[in-house]
Amino acid sequence: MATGRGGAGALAPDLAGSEPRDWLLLLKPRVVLLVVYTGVVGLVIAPEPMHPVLGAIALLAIALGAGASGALNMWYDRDIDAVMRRTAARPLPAGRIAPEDAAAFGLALALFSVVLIGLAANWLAAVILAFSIVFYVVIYTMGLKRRTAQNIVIGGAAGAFPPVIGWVAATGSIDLAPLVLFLIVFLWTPPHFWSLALFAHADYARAGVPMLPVVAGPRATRRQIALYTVLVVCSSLAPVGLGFAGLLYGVAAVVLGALFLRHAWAVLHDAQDEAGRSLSGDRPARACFRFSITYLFALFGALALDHALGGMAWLMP
Amino acid sequence: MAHAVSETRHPTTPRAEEHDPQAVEVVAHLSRAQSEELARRRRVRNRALGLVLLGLVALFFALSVSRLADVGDPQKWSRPGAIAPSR
Repeated sequence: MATGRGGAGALAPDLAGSEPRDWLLLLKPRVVLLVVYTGVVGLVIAPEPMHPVLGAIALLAIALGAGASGALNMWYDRDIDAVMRRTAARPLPAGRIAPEDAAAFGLALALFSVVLIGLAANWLAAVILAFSIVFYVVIYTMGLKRRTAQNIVIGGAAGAFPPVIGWVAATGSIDLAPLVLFLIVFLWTPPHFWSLALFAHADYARAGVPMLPVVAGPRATRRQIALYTVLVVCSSLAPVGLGFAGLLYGVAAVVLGALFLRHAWAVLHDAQDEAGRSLSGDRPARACFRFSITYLFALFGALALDHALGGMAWLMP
Repeated sequence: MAHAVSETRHPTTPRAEEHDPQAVEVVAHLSRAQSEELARRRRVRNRALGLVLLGLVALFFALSVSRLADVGDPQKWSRPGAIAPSR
């Protein structure tokens, strides 16, 4: 049985129903964590302070919006999730939540999150949050994911909106700084997901998802990972060049960028057979995938810290 | 969530003259342990829903109070025909 709990009292999946944990899983909590984190940084570095409670509610709305996107994504992708080893245990393919319930839950949550941020912050932030949800669900999930190998390049824009939403929630307007943060997350997405796709390509192939390693092969994917890593590292220096980040962020961006490039280099030069298949069990790709998460957390953390220390410059002698 | 509960009800086939559409008969085709597990899950879901509702009350209370605090000193904008400033 899908839930694996209950012992002698185990129930068939159609009788078992869901538990609150299943509804939480439907929101893709790990993705939500990263989304909220980048949203916090966008809000923190904004030049206008926000009421702390309203700021917290705006972040909750961003989290709920991201969760709603995840729920609607799982609803639409339940057929391919069922055949992928990585996703087969999710609540929908496992039969713990009915598809129509998941769709209703996602839609209601999306609507609620948009209204909530509109009430707590402003309606421009609400419009951008609504657009990001529509972009992820309709353009990425329904439009791109099963059609093109560039799915996560274009679809990556959906995950790049949160720092913009955080900034707009605080200021009520769009500026160059949040657009640079958007660009960093946008360029970070391909090397992150293609590293995952390199070692999970069999799953994607079985499900018929045209990820780059499935369509163009692992060798071309490694080259693209290297290219996008160079681009994201270059873009990460833009905040210093544009004057909205200082030395601390600059040093962090250079050091983290060098480490990210080293991982991408290792992926590019991974031992491989003539077809480009890894002979090391894709160890460098796994390491690159893990580091890419650390990279984004540390880079955005350095930006927030740099801003906080800059704001305390009057304490310096 | 409700679909799981409704499927536990299987009215037995009554004779035509005895049929009462209002009657709901729960057939005991679940073992005691299974019934207890079903009841446990229902309890957990109900408690979670209760917490969500309480959370919503707290959320909108905090939102209203903070919104009022965020508009600043009412004496600065409170005059006939004026409305509270918003972002």
